Amino acid sequence: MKRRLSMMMILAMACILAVAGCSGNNSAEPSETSKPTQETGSTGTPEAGGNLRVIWWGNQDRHNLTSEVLDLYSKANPGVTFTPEYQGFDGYYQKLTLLAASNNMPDVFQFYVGASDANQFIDKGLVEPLDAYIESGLIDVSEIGESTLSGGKGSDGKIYGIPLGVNARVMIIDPAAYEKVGLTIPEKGYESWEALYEDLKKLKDVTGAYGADDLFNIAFTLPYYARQFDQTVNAEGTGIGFDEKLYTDFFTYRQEWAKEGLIPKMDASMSVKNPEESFLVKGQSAVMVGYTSQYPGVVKAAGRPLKMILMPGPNSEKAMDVRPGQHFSISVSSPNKEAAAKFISYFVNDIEANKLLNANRGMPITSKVRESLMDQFDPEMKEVADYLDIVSEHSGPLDAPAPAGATEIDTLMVDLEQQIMYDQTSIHDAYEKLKKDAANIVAKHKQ
Amino acid sequence: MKQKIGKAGGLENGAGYLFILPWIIGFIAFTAIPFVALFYFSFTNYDLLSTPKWIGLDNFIRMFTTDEKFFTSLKVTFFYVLTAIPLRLIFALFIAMLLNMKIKFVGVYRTAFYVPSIIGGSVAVAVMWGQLFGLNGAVNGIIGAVTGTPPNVSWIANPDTALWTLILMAVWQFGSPMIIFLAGLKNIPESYYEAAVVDGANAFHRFVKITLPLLTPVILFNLVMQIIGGFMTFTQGLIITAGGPLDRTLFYQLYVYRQGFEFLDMGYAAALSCFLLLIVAVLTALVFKSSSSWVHYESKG
Repeated sequence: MKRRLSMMMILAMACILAVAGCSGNNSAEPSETSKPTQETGSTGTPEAGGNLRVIWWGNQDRHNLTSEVLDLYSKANPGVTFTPEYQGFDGYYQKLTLLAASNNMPDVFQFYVGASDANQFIDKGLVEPLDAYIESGLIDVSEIGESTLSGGKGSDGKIYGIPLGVNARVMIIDPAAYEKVGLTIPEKGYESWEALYEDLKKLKDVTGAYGADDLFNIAFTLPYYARQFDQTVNAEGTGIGFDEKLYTDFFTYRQEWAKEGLIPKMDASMSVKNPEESFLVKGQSAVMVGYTSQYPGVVKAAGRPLKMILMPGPNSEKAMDVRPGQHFSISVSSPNKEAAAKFISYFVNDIEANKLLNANRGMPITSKVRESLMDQFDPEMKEVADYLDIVSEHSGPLDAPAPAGATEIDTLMVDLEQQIMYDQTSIHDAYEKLKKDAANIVAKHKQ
Repeated sequence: MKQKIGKAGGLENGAGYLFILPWIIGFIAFTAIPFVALFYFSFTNYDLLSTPKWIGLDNFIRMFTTDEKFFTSLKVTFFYVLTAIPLRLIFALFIAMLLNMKIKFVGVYRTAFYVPSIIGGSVAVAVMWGQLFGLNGAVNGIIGAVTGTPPNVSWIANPDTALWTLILMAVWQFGSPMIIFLAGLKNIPESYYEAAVVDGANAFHRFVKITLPLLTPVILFNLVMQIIGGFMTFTQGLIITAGGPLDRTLFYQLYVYRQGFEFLDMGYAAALSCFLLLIVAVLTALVFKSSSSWVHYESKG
């Protein structure tokens, strides 16, 4: 009998525990969690100490380098310890969602303010605005350019993330192929898409396969293409900020070039999962597009000299942008916000730390750090640094952050991209559907 | 007397409950409570990050009126279940018959054939499959070696072949039904076959008249398990094809996952899940209902 009672008790306990676990009621108020901060206080100074949970995405290389920097910081700041978590990019935001839902957000997390996936977190009030920490000097931004910093602004104008490096779009070409057909390399990028088209026809003969890799991936190229004509991909209110003509031109290029075999067909380009697998690397194309941070990896994989030029087409000085590769942000529920802020400041400003990191998250954002790294850069990284200097003179301001619901719109655009490229729908019909559905999605999220 | 038995029985029961207590706790915490929560969430608008809002039947109305992808994913899943599962069972039975012969090293073969299924649901196999059937994958390499020109098609990115590569993978993972079939085959007394041979029945007759009828209980079990498993297909779709191209491999579970974890629409995802439960329950019930007319039990005891 007694046993039964105790069993009941245990069951009841289990229920309560489970229920408590399930109802992850995160009110969106920035309320402090009731976790006591682990003040070590052994240093005697008002050092913010304690354990910081840091989470990021990346490859093994990045995990190793970042872990070294965390150790370095712990050594220099006794009392601060780290619990790092890291993984590849696939599923990263889903994991962050679960951490948020279970009220278990890490103190510092790698993030991309402005990306639709990330904005959901800002909209829900889960991300700490950093303006106060910047004003008080806890996060030192004296060396960081205004425009770089502005990439971390949410739609309310507050800063939600400190950039960890900068990137720009780039066209990567194979100089040897150009030499073979006797083409001059347009150092400043192609004047127009048509000029590129003419060259690709000749380059195709050299490679024996394609002229270029897929140049029109919608997630990569459409934002750039839209900026060339003073339009944007995402927009408040309507969901999309480009007209039918732009969409039609973009896909007409793509369909015709793919038909002529200048760029791979959809199924072939879909099988390229990362830049190191591109047709350019395999010698089956002479041109590809990507981000500057990918360039060293592509050169290494290709095993032959390559070259960076500006993106093609008219108005590229407006359309190019120097964008933060990713941010570090602090969660609203962190018990150690000040320690977290100090750590982020160290991460972007400290020369020793950045020598270890070796521009792994894109080019360092302060000129001081960049200069100190110049000696240790391999030639490709030097090229990237030079290229970024050119782009920073030759670029426009960043796009406004995407509205709520942009994740769904982006998914829809990828769906339609496939339908167009597999000839399941006409460009006109796709645009009509996109316009209608995007407006609905935005309206739904406004409620 | 009766009371005594009751008392002793009570103790017995108590001990029994104590022993299965870990399972009970696990069941309540990880199955029962989540299930109730799921049911509740399906009537709410819940984004995982803020409090669920009660919206009544809206999720279900949206499912059947405005959501094209819901029907797309249903179509894909039904097509997959109706092709992959029968093929897998036929193949599993075929291999089980082979392994039921008296040959040397039969144990080694059994293990070898079973291995793909042990690692079947895992991410690594999915990644491997994607590599095999990619544009520069081994399959195209082999075709190229045989015919001289490797086909310029990525089997997993071509809308017409993507789902078939996944069906092929499902057939390849025939191990667990095979093992169960094998056990069933071992249970058929040799004397039946001997008698049939004496009566002049050929191999085909023996298979149709003896093997199949006596295997029907095992077939029923396999069928039910496989149908349930088939509707839960997720990993392959996520890893190999990501639901693409053109949503040709958008399995129902993958769609649920997208709604819940990518669009943070957990209320709608819960509603979708509830509906899937209904589908599987109905199908299983139909299979059981029909079983009285085709499943043959040896002993009516």
